[in-house]
Amino acid sequence: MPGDKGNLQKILESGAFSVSAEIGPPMSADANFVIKKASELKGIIDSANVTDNQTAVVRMSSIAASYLASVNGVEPVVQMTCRDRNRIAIQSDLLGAYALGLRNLLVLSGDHQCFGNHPQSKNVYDVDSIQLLGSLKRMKEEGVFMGGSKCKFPAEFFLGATVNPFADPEELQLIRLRKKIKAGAQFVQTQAIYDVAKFEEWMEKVRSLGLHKQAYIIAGIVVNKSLKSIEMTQLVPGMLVPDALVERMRAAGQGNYDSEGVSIALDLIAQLRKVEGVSGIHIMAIGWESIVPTLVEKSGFLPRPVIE
Amino acid sequence: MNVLILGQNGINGEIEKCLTAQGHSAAVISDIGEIKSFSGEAGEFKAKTGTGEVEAALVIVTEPDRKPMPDMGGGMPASIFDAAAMEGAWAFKAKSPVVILLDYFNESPPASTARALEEALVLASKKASTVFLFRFMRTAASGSEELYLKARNAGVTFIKYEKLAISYDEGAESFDIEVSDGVQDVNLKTQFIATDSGHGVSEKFSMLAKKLRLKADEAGYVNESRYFLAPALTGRKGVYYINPDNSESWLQETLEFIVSTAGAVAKEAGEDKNHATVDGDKCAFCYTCYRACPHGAMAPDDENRVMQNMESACEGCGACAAVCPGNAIAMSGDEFAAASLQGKSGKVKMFCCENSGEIALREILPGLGELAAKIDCETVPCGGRIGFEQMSAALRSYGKVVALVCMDDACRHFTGNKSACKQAQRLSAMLEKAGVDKKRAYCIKTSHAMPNAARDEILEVLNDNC
Amino acid sequence: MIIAEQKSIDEIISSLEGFKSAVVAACGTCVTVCMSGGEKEAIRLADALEIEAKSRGGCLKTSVTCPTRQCDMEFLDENEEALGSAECILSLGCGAGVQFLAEKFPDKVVLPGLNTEFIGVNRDIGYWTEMCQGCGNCMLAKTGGVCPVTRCSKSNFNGPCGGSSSGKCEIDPDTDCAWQLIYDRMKRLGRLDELLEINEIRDWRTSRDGGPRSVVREDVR
Repeated sequence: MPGDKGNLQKILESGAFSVSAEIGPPMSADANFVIKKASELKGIIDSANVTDNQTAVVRMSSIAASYLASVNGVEPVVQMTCRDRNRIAIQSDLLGAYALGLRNLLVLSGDHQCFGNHPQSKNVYDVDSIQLLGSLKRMKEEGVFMGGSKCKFPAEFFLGATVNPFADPEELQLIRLRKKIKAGAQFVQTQAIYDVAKFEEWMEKVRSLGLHKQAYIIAGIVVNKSLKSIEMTQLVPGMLVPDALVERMRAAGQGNYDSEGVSIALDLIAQLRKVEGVSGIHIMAIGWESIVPTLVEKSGFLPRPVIE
Repeated sequence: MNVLILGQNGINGEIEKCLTAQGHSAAVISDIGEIKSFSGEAGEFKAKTGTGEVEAALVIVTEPDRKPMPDMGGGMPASIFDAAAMEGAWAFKAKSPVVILLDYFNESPPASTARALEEALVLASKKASTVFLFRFMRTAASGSEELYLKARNAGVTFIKYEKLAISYDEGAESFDIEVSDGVQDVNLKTQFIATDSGHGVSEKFSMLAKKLRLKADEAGYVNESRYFLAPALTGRKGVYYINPDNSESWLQETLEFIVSTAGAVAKEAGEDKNHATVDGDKCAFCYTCYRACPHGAMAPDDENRVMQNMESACEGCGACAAVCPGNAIAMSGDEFAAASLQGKSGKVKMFCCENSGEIALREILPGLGELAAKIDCETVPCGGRIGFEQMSAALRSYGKVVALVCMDDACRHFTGNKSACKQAQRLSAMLEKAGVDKKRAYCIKTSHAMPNAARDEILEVLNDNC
Repeated sequence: MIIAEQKSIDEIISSLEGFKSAVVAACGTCVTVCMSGGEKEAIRLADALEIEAKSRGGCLKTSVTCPTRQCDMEFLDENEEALGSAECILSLGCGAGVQFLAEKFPDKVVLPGLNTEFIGVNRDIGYWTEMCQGCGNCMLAKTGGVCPVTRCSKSNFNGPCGGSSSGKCEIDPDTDCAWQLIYDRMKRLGRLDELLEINEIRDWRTSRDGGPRSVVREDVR
């Protein structure tokens, strides 16, 4: 029904701590891939982000995969990047998504196409992520399209954005976060956090600006399965992985990396849920989705609240 | 004749005295930050400061051009140029390794590199444990590569680093050194560090160099080994540099030199010599020549919106003509266009630079026998004058084309030799792309002092049929 | 200025396939200064083409002419005879020059010898960078004189994307993040608070998206 709220929004508005994960659509037309993942996560999490051609690699569309997830028991968060569609395509797709009952939308710039499997392609960037948030808010509140004409049944998404607490320059990143929230972001997912102390400092600034009261801040974490994976993560620009954590993984020794990875993730979750202003946790178990139920259970997040 | 002395230095008074004794006058600007703009050429430089304008025929820079040494945490390093200190160094061998430090962000100057390697070799041969730390070592200069290998074989430990931290422990009288190559950290303890005094160009000096339009080469803006460049030790005619670190005798020599050339500059300004002329109709006023001229001899003529050649500063190398996008610059005495190119298919066209190529070729020509007849030599002022056009045009009739130019560091015009090599490479690449697989364009580096060095290479080109 | 680069010699050679003669038409303005299509490059290219043809046992007669600008008909008229003296014209002008030559010589094949790259600046000998995309609605007043439309890989209007790291763009560590440059400038100018203003979605009709553009100035006609 138009206007009704999704599960994620209801959970967050109730004041409960949200738990979400990711479903990466397949690089194929295989519906069972999504259905299987959804069935593994059903009842475990409040919502799952369904990525939009992540790292510019062609995959099943986020909206189609989101629909498959939703009919199989997992509420999706549709992702929409500004890279591949102009404002006509974006609005049209989003009207369709809303018509299919999808309620959450995460807006991103999108990785540059040079990273993906179609570096030859033309990019679009007709609108940027903040402009997109702004116009979707306007569609919701004033019932108008970006072009100004009226929309009788507008899509009223629960709008989300992303933020990297560790990107530099911090001042500029905070300006950008403020703009995202001002434009219409109702929840904000962070880049993976490893350095909780640094994140605390950042949250302090977020709180002093009152941003945590204007949007739900959801802390992201990555679960690493191997020493190599955490070492690689440390090399990614904009990711802050303390040497101590890499050391801890190394010290666990061959054969124990996966269990140590889980133990690190559990520690991070335990610390992050205590940070004032953090409303939920978002688990990115890249290539290791099957570990999500374990993490959620061991963190004591089960059973998930049901809010009517 | 007025001379402008730039920089904060104790020897300024010395220079002033020397100049006034010769009947010249001198103006001193000790804070080089005061200079707002600088224009003109040898004989008539103009420096504008916040308070006025100074006119001078010559400029002497006395501002140190080197950054201070890395922080030694209070300890005092020895100089690799100090023979006595180095002699004493091996006395430390029992207690700790001897550390030689070459801390340059860019390639270390040839002299320092060679000296440091020599000392490392001496220390190692005396069985002192020797560690050689460097950030960016230049071994291209003649002999350095060999020294480096010898030193390695003698047991010197070479560490290339990215980060360096030194602290001095006064109680233990030793240095604690931490170096990291970005992957691994190494900690050293030593009682003896030897380094050279120069550590990259200071920011203040490079600002001045920009205003004075001095060109830097691998060794920096001023290169004392460029003795043959006289009277332009900085690469720009009329601008001298006196290194305050140098010995008194060197200072005296330089002063005498400056005084004697002060007159020569004025005289030369009036003489007719090889220089560039700009065709105003073709000049696009694009400043390419201005950027390319190693001697600061191209200047904008703002009134006519064209570039102009400042004849008295021009060294006639032709770098501007080679690079001018609009073909607007010609060199007086340029004979490229006039040369007849018919019926030379079996012959080799050699463009020889004045400074090395021509002299070297003249020396080895008699020994080439019949092959000498294959050579058609054309003298050019500098390798920098040999453009792609001249080389490719020569190939229309000649079997091969060779640029015979200076060795590295020997080019009077800094990089003319490299430019010639680049053009030859471009031509070869183009020919190869066009399906002409046979190599027809060459660049050979030679020296007027050691003409036989390139003899074999030249023979190879000549022997190989065109 | 328009920055262009010469096409690969292979591509030029194959486009000249079948022609016995060609005029290489240089252009004396932008492409001369960016060293890709001036008289000098034209002579160089003509030489290379003749040598190549000879090496294959073929024959290509080339000549070179250099109008001051290929984008003004008067200069093309001035060079009409030279330009029209061969079977085809290989233009070393920017895309505008090639097309204007084609208009001037409706019965001749006009081939491009350059790839026209961008509107940019001369940073050093042999080094040019893109600065303007000609989008028709300049917003530099809001961004400290650094263009995000051109210099941000994603044309972001409201700040850096998540890929900006240590002042560099995610696409390549040598490319500056335009928003870092904007931030630095605005901070220096003491106008950082202006960046909080949201730049609304823009009207791309002023850019090429609105179709081919023309400027008609009645006041100067």
